[in-house]
Amino acid sequence: METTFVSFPNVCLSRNPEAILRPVPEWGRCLVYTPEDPELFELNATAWLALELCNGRPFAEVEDEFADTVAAKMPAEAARRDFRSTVETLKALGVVFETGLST
Amino acid sequence: MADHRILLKAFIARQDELAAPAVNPVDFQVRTGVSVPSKPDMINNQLVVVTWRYQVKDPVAFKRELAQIEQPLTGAAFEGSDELRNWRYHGTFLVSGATNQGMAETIWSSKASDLDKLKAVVANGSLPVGSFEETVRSMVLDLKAASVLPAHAEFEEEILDPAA
Repeated sequence: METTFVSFPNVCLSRNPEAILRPVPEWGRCLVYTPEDPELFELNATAWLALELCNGRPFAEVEDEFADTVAAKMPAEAARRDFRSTVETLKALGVVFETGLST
Repeated sequence: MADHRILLKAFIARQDELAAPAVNPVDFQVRTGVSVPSKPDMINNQLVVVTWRYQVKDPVAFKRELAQIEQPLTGAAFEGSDELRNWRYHGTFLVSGATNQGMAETIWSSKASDLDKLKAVVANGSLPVGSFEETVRSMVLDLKAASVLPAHAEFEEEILDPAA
């Protein structure tokens, strides 16, 4: 029997309240402005979904919802890989931050 | 559930194929204080515009570092230089459009007769340089470090000469 180990970062994901979002739903895009480091970024619908799901819930729960949402369009493994890489990018840009899990 | 999540889930369900998540810097930059001269001004003052074009390693990191890299060259900094008195730095820009992903351009203008001076300044050891020329040289090295070119390679150069 093959065993797969999956690790989840033991954190919650939240959107930085300082980041300003300007949704452009007719294009399936969202513009994000980061005033602390003045820059403007464009998120496609998939990255925007990842950001919208980061509302203070545990990483695993957010990742599961992302993977479920895109399940019909994307293999689960790719969805989870893309989600993690997007969260890393958004963290680096200061749009998303992590907090410890409350016990 | 927030409205945007409902909207996004509906949007994603409607897609035939779903694109991988993408976060891109918006190719929109504003530079103040200096503008590229108009064609009549260029002709009257024997000016040419020189554009360096190059591929950068990481557009997001490049945009973040750019303000620092070009800060010494803003405003009237060139006034203090004998060798580069006729040179103006107009800025460095990420080029817009999907086919230009990661391409950047650095734009200068100069007297046509001084066309070789900037090259001489940035080419190590080919011209005795003062502190300002060293700043220019250092900035060019920073740009090359952020590009995918080998440090010793030249940027692809385009010269706009209104008199040509």
